[in-house]
Formats: sequence, C-alpha cells, structure tokens
Amino acid sequence: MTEILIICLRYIIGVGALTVSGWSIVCAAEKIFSRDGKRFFTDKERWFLGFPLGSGLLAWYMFFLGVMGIPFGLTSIAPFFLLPIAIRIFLRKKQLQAPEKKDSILPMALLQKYVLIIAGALFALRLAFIVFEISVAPTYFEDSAAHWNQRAKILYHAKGFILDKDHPDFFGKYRPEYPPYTHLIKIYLSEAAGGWFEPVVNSSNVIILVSVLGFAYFVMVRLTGNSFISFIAMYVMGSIPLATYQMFGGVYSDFLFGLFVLAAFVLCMAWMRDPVRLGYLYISSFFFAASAFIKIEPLILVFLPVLFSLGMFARAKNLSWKKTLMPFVGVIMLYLGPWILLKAALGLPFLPSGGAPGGLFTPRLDLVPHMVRVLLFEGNYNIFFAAIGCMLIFIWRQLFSGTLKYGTLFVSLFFALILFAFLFTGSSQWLEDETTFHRTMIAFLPSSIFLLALASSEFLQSKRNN
Amino acid sequence: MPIKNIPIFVFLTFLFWHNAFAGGGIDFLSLSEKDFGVQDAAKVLRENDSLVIRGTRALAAARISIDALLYRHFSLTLQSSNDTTGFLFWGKDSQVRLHSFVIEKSVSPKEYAFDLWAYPDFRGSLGIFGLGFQSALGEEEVVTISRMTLKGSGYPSFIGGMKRFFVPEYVSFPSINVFFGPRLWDKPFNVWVLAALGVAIFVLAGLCIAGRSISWHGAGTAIFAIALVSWIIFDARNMLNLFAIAKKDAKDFVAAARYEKLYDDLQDLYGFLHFAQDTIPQSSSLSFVSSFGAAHELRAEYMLRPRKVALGIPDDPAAKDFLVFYRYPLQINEEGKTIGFQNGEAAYKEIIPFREHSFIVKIK
Repeated sequence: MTEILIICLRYIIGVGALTVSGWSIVCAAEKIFSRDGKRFFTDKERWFLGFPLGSGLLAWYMFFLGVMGIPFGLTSIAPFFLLPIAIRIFLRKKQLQAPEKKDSILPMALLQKYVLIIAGALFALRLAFIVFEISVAPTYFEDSAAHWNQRAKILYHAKGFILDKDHPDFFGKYRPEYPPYTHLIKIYLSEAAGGWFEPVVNSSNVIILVSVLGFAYFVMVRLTGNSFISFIAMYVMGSIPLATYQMFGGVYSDFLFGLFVLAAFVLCMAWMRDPVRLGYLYISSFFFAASAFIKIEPLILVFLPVLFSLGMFARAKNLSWKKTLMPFVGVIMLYLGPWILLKAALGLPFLPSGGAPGGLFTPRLDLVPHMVRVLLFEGNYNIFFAAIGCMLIFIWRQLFSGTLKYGTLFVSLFFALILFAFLFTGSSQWLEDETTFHRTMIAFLPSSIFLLALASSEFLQSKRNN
Repeated sequence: MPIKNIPIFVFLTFLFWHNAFAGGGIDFLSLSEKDFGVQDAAKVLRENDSLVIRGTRALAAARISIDALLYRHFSLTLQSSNDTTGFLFWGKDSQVRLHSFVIEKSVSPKEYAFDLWAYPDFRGSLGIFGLGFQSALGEEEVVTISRMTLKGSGYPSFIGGMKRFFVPEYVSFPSINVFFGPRLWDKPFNVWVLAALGVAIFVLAGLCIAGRSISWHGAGTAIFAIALVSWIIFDARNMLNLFAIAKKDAKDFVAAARYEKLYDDLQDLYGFLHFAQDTIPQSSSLSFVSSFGAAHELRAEYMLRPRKVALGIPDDPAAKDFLVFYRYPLQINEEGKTIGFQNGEAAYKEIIPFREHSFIVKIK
C-alpha cells in the first residue's frame, strides 16, 4: 500500500512539475511578446495550457537527450525544469495587466442551466469511466501493443534511443518512422513514477484532454461571453464515442493530435480577433508543430490548410509577413527540423509504413456511399455528421463572415484533404476496412466543433442584437 | 378523421406493422439437408453428430430466413476434444463477418449462450446463419454438437426494437476503430435523428412557402435544440454502454485473482502473462508461442519486457532460457525430458504448468 502511495505521489509531482513549467513558459511568452502591457491569458487559461505546452517542450528536450545518447533519467531530465525557472527570474520585473474580457457574460435561462447540469454530469461520468479503465485495464488494443506502448517501453528500458540500425530493437523496434512525442511522455511519466506502470503510461491522453478542453472553454467564454455554448462545445468534444476508446486500453494518438490542433486553432482564432497580439500566433505555431511530433498526419492534412488560411488573413489585413507567417513557419521548422533530419539520416520513410498501400493516386469514388454510411449512420461520432447539415442552414452566414471565414477555410481544407487522402490515394484501403479513416476523423472533430460553436454563438448573439 | 387523431392512427399503424412476435425458436439440428449443410464434410448435422476438424476450418451454415429484430438468443451445446476457436456468422448472402469465441476442451457437453443483439451486424433480414470451427495447428479435434437453437427475443418487434437500443456494445478488437452505436427498431439511432431534423426542416420550409412569418432565429434555435437533445440521448445511452463495460471488467478482471483474470476476447491471456511475469526472471530470454498468432504474441512481448522476448518457435530453442506456450498443444516426452516441434525437438529442465496447453518450459 505504501508503495502505491509513493508511486501516486511521485506521479502527481511529475505531472505537477510539467504543468508548472508549461505555465511558467506561458507567463514568460506573455512578457516577451506583449506590446501593450497586457497579458494574453487569464490565470485559468495559463494553468490549463501548462501541461500540453510543457509536455511538447519536454518531448523536444528528451528527443535531444536521445539523439545525443544521454540516458533518460530524472538526472538528465531535471535541467529541463531549470529553464522556465531561470526565465521567470530573468523577467520578474516586467509586470502585465490582466487580459480584456468580454463586456458581459450572457445570463442563462433556467432550462439552459438544467441542460448544463445534465451535460456536466454525463461528462463527469465519462471521465470517471476513463479513469477507472486506465487504473485497471491492461494494454489491449492492437496498435498499443504493436506500437505505442511497446515502442515506449522498449525505449524506456533501453534508457534512450537505439539508433544502431542493426540492433533488433532499433529505435524502439516497431514503427520507428513515427514521431516520438507520445513515447517520450510515457517515458517521462514512468521516470517520474519510478517504474513502468500501466495506469501511469496510459494516463497521458486524459490529462491532455482535460487540459486542452479547459483551455479552449475559458478562451471561448472570453471571446464570446457565452458560457452555455462554450460548455456545450467542450462537452460535445469530450463525448465523441470513438475518442473515448483512445483514452484507455493502451491509448492511441489520433484524438491526441486532434487536441493539439484544437489548442493551436483556438489560439489562431484568438489572434485573428486581436492581430496585434502576435504571441497567440507564435504559441499556436508551437502547438501545430507539436501535433506533427505526435503523428505524421498533421504534416499532410493540417499544415497546408493553416498556412493557406493564415496567408489569406494576413493578406486581407495587410499584415507584415515577416512578423506573422515567417515566424509561424520558423517555429514549426525549428521544432520539427531536428526530427525530420534524424529521419533522413536514418533512412526512415517519410510516410508511415503502409500509409498508402495502393499507390499515391488511385481514386476510389465507389467508396463514397460507404463513407457516407460511416459518417452518418455509425455511432463513432455520435450524431455529429447527421446533424451538421441542418445546422449549417442557419449558421452559414456567420461561418463565412468576419474572421470566422478564415477558420472555416482551415476546417474545410482539413476536411477536404482527409477526403482526398481516403478517396483518391491508396489510403482508401483504410476507409474500406473501417480503420484509419474513422480515427483520423476524430482528430478533425475538435477544431470543427470549436468553429461551429463560435458561429452558433454569433448566431444567437445576433438574435439578441436584432 | 379529426386531425388530433392522426398521431394515434400513425402509432397504431406502426404497431401493426411491427406486430410480429418471435416464434418459439429454430432448432438447427432438425433442419433438413436442403437447409443445412456442412462444408468439408458432406453431411447434415444431427443430434450428437460429431464434426472432425483437421487443420482447416469446418463451417456449418443454415439457409434460413429470419428477421434480426425477432431473434436474439443463440444457444449452442457441444463437447470438444481440445481447446479450439469457434465462429458465428450471419448475413443476407455470402457477405458475412466472423465473430470468434473460445471453446474449451470438455469431457461433457457444455452450453455456450450468445446475445446476438450485442453484435451490431446482426440486423435486418438474414438469409444465412452459420457456425464454424478452426482447429489449432492441424491437430485433429472432435467437436460433438448436441443442441443448437436460435430463440426469439420474447417481445413483439416494436418493444424488442426499443429494448435493443439498450443492449450494450462491449469492447472488442475492432472497438478502437469502429463504434457501431445503438439501434432503435433495427435502424441506427442516427436514422431517427436525421428523420426528426428532416421533418423539422420540412415543416419550417412548408410554413415559409405557405406565407407564414417564422422567426429565423427561433427556427435555428429549434434545430439546435433537437440536435443537442439527440446528442445527449445518444450520450446517455453510450454511458450505459460504458457502465456495462466497466461492470464486466470489474467482475472479470479486477475482482479475479491475478492468474484468473479474463479480458474480453483475449480470455485468460493476461492471467497467463501475469503468471509468466512472476515465473520468469527479468534478465531472461524467452520465446512466446500462441496458437492464436500475432494478436496474442505482440501483447505478450509488451507485457513480458524487459525480458528478451522472441516470438514464435525459435530456430534454436536451446539458446533460450524459457519457452512460453499459450494454448498450444505440444508433444512432451516427460521421461526423456524433451518437447517435440514440427522441425525437431528440444531438451528441457522443467515444465511449469498453468493450464492444459498453456505452460512455461525452462530450458536452462
């Protein structure tokens, strides 16, 4: 019993240290990038952003440890935590004011309060289920045993990267071409807890889920003043049925990269509302980069849409590309460059093994009815795709006006690239056999739900104003 | 007819349409040769017939015409000379999906019961219902079937169609990729949501065409409300599902002793792997072999690391510290202390048994 308590205590300290370091870096970024003496984030936003941001930076730091052959361990990881402390001390004299909030939070009707209670209770029950399953269930799902947890465990016991191509466990043996964020965070949590424990290594996704949803909720309330729509949006994102299965049983990373894209998208939308605050954009670029440190898909499905949307926005607003797009791309290249160079040096394939088995351009339009059936009638995404058509009739004006239209452009291109990948390339096999297509779609949903919630909020607000 | 009676009329029509009650069930062993055949063994299954499986699959499929909404329980009583894998399958035609289950060796007939409504593809009108077996590694196995019955749900289809909405969809290998979702009156729940939203849009469009002034925001709010309520109903139903999964795991995995743990379609694999973890020192090398192949072997490799784990029968068994066999029938010469493989034999020091065909061989 004492042993379990010590493991729990060490684990909490490990998660807490990463959260505090992420929080410190957010605070430091605000001080560095603020030009008007005001903060970008409220206290709650800072804290919720702490773990995702800290974990993205720690994974990058551990990547260098691995490349340089420095063994993973608390001693080698500890210097990472000194950096945020040093920055805090260095910038301690610069004081910022709290960020501006929406003038007023819309009052809720009694019925809305009841709906919130029901939605909140359902979300709390879902979280309780996930925590229970993480605590007891073994690593069960195929790719966890054949890749995610397996590779992480191999690297954990090797205490570092195995970069000798002749070694039977080369770079974790299974799928070495996959980026290492997920594996490195599992290794960190194990080092913090003092051993490889199933509940510990399988807990990373749920921490990111709660953190990113909490962050997105508070930013959305600040941007819209509508706490009802904001909460419902987060509830809807958190209760996507297929995503729940990625939270236990070994955890997959599709929804995880979707959550990182959500954090980045939220920051992008916040920046478009207030383009002077470039800090939003720069932190957003970090999250876009980190999403491609989780899975390869963002490089193909996310980067082109976001660059195109931001380019259109910068052009429309006559913003300097040197201050906007170039630093945005620079952060991404700085973060992902070393990983891509290492892949090239090791001769690892750019695409995941088996990514497009039938060739790069092999149209399969005969799969359209199957795809429609998957999206509309299977339970993977609750009723999202069944309801979306009717909702668009009412909110299309909001989606194509103001700054939201750039968000709509991003989400539409993201969706179009998914459809292209699974209908026009050899990846159609993964739509036909009901595997990767379904999972990729849950990565797309968080940012699209956020966008729809912003549009819905404007729709309801326009009713009040009329 | 007064307009206010229309909903009652629609409801009664619907009830009449779904008025069929499930019959007493289908006893497969009384079906004629025309209805029921066995592939690879040209004969009709009769009571206490035995089915000999040699290396390949043996499939028995009945040509029947049933409504999945009316039939729910399948019961199979059999006796097997060895641990083996059984399959259930069904479909409109030859397009079928197999659902495997583990059959344990038994000296007397044992009943296997299935809730077919828990299988999302058991739906619509079915023309084929079948049963199959797969022997392990070409070993001859004798499966004696004494009873095989498909029973009704016990409800009229209208009530049964609603009851099925609450039947949980348990975790299985495909769950990470597909969650089929609940069915209401044998249609996916989303069909009814689409219908509700479609009717609402149709009514609003009709009112506009009729020249009635409607509030655009009121209409939009109504559509949002229907979507939100539908989401919450689906989610509440999904919570029942998750609760059922948690309850099953609490009983089969958490409450079970360390070596007795069961987990969904992997059965007692984790119990056995816990046994292997406690038996084999962490610095040892081992080969893990399962008659179920990669699905078991990769999970074993993960669970047994940091031990040096190889998968499958090694070329040089003597080079390993341990050989770990899970549900794998093997020739063991206890006097000569050797185990026989297809490609030779190896000397061993000790056999540490778990269950029949699941054991650890200490080589060094």
